[in-house]
Amino acid sequence: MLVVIALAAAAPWIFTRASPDQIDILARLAPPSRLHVLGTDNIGRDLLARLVWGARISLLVALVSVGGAASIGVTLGLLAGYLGGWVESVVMRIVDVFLSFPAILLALALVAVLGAGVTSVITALTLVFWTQYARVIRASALAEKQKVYVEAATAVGANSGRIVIRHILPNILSPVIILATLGMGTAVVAESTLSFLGMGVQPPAPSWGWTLAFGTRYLRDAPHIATFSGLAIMLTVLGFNLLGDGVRDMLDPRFRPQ
Amino acid sequence: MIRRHLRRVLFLLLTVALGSVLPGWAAPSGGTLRIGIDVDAGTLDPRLANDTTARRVIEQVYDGLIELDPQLRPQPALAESWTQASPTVWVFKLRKNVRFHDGTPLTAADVVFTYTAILDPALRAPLRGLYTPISRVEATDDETVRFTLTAPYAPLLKYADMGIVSKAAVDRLGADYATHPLGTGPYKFVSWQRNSRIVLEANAEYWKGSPHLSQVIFNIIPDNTTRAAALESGDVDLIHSPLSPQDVARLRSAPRVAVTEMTGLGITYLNMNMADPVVRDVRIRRALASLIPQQTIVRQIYREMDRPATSVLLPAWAGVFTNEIIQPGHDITRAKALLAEAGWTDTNHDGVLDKDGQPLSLVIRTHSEDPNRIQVVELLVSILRSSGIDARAEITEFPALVQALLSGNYQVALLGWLGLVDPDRGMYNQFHSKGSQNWEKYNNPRVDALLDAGRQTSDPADRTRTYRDVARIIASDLPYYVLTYQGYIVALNRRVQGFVPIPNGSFRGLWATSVP
Amino acid sequence: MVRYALRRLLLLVPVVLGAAAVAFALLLLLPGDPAVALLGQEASGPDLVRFRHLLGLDRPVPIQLALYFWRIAHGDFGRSVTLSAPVLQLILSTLPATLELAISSIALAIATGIPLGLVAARARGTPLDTGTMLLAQLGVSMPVFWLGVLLILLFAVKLNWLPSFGRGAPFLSSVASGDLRALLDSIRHLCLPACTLAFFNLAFLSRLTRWALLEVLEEDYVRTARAKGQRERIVVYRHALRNALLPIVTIVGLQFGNTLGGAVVTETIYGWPGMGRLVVQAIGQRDFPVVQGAVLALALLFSLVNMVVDLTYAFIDPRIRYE
Repeated sequence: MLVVIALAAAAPWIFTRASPDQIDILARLAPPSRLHVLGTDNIGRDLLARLVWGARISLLVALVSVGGAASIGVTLGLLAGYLGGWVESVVMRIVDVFLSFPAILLALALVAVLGAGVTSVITALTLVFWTQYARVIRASALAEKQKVYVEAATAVGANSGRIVIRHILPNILSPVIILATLGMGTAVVAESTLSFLGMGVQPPAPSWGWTLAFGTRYLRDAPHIATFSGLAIMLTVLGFNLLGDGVRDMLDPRFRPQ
Repeated sequence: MIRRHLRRVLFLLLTVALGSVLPGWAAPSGGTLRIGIDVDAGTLDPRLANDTTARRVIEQVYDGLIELDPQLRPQPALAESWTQASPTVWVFKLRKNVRFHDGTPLTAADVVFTYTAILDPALRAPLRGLYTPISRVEATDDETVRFTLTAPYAPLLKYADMGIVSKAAVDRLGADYATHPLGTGPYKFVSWQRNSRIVLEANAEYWKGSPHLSQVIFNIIPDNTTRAAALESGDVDLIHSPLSPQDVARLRSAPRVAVTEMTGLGITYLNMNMADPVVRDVRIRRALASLIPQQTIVRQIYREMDRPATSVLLPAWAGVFTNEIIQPGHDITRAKALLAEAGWTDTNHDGVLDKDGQPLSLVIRTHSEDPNRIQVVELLVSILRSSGIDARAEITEFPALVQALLSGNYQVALLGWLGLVDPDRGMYNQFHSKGSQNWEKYNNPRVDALLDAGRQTSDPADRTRTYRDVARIIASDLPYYVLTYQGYIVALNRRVQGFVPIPNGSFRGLWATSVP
Repeated sequence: MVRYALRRLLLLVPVVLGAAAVAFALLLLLPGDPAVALLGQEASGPDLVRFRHLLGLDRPVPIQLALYFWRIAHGDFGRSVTLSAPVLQLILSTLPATLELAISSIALAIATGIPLGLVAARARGTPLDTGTMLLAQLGVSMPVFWLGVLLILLFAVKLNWLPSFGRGAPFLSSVASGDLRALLDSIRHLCLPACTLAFFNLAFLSRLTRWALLEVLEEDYVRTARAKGQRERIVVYRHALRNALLPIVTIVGLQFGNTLGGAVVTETIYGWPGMGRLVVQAIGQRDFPVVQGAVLALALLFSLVNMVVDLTYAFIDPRIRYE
């Protein structure tokens, strides 16, 4: 049930990519509300069109950065947790070094170095968020490792790789999925924060972050910009989270809804 | 017995009543003025200060030889009078009996010390470039200072508002002097909480008389909207440019707030890199200028906070300014004609003009700290694209932008200048081929000659003629396209009395201000 | 356990130094340098060259790095290029402000988020659960700066209950001195920023708590405890919660770490004089010494926090053994 709702929420954002290009209606610079369905933005572009196209950017940033971060984080976290010893030490040291930078500052510095733009933002967010997965996975791997079934598998003679992939991994996937879906939302919000601080996707690309950043400056005169772009972000994140919940419910055999 | 007590009480009441009515009896109660400011000061040493907040605070803690009045004319401050002994020699006579906040007397030695330090390259004074024509500063006696110049330098007086530091204090405190400023000004430094607030208190022994305010607090609020909100809610009493246009529009009608607007000393302009193969063609520059909807930009993006510019001459330059010198105005037909004339046509019908197989691509840069400039660039990019130019925006942080300017690694950049108190300040370093801020590598011998002449003559009529000639040439060659004349806006709580705004943003007028 | 703690402490050093080195490298890659930033538009060629030489920027990178570490070892953290004070002083003056904000917002988040998650988990499937989780959803999706501006508009401008910017008296010192007015001033200024920051973490924590608890409640040993007839309350709190705490503690640690430096936007909007704002400004102005010093300080703090988190693991779950 939840899955259906989630998919329904996520789908429109994917389909509306087909909308025609909209930017560049210069004439109306001030933002009214009726003539354009959602109003115009601070320099007269149709807000609905901007948001729809912004979905592409936000989704791209979220998907790629979370995918990258999760892959790196899970791999390293598993290695650390399962193998222990010096592998764990090294990996966790690297995690610590990365973690010692506050997320936003590291992202900011990375984007400043790489130059603003979509790729930089994605790279920066990936490098910033992978550590979350690594830490949590390592902790869970450590705990799982002590469990009975792992001992059993080792006793039976299964090799490490097999144990990790076939036994441990499925059991710790749930936190990964939760983190990943919430992470998508975080990525979208992070991208808008970077834009707010002036170091995000380059204008005039219609990133939600830029739109929201400008919207907050005009909050008292034209609240619709910030409201709708914020709403767009929230709804997308909601969609992702519901999706995550649904997927987890499917994957986890212990969680069949009663 | 009760009657005796009653009498004592009555007596006390009377004394208190008298005390609060009679002037001078009560403690100085000019009140506290809370100012909202956008950045934290970098240093409070006048010789090293390079940001607006530092200058505002320094204006209160220090005096210069002169101070600029609201019409930007030099008025006596620490210098009681001055004479020009020869075209290259200026003599300043100092006021008597002026003391620093620690009680030590001001002498000519302090003035000499201040200016010598600024001229010393090792000190890295950011404004050193304004004082380089000074070859020697000496104290002919305790109250007289003599400036010798390498060549006549008309703007010298305008730059003589540099705060005078106490030699003794600098020797004593060294680098800490920057955080423990000591001057002769109307207010004494009390405390500085980084990124939070700077507190000053009145200097009762000020040579002009005690200021009316007992305390001035600078509150550092970086976000424009928050600062405006703080004024509206009464958390601060005074704010000034930079402000967001929409906040200004709202403040104009806020009940508790009085807004004063005047033309400022800044411009927002497009810097065109003459060394770039595309921009080097004057027809391209004129075409660009003709594509810019100046009025629309000022009305919509800047909400009339700034004014459309006509040339590189500022309205604040009384006597020099004229609005008869005009840059190319908004004319799309002419733009298209110019582009065609320059050889750019759409030969492959892809919507982008090209020449010799290369598309006409243009990158407009600006810095990320100013949302208005970002919007202008966005608008320009879309306008250019619809005219067949493959335009792109590049928005970076300010230091990265300056780096690009210094290395000539740009085509067109949207920037600004502030504090242009004098035509020399607004044109010499920018357009002279040897100018230190001539990033666009503009090289015109006629302009060079004119600028040198303007610097050396003090005759107002001569200067007017000279600088107008320069402006005419610039309006035709377009190394700069000036977009707006920045307005200077002060918004204050109506209960603040007696504040006189000065177009360069100076708060020297605080001396006469009070908050009942 | 003690040996482990000591070992972790020793390991702090390379981590912190590593962070400093990374920061160094990053800074040097940034376009623009302190010379350009400081002299700004007044910069001229020869002045820049002179200035760069003074700052030591024209030397090869490894030498700069070595010099930097050498100076650190002697306690010299350098002077800020754009602000006229020693780096150490700048950090020490802004750190308390950030700590105040971070600790109060995390405390708020924990105090509200975990109980909320507990309630939701216990009331699973009911409208209470759905309602709470939707609220959490909002918190997680709302950008911090939007919330901040909204709160300012509502509480400071429209209602005028709370100040719109700045920090009041330092919290700890006003508690220590028993000065009630200072304490009130401190709390009034702390209120909005702390709430703004806490909202996201609170929402996150409540979701996480709910999930973790539900996971654990299905475990075998929980069923055993229930079968044994233990009261539901004891099952939840003593057995389940303890195990659910593992990921919760991790995340709290991470959140605290993030808040320390990541409160940038909140600090900017509220004019809170903290380290986050200092560092962002320093990055924007290419003030290398400040960024490096701040990175060192933050790295140290974070590593300490992480270490504490790791040690807490062992405390909570004795099954996690360390080699």
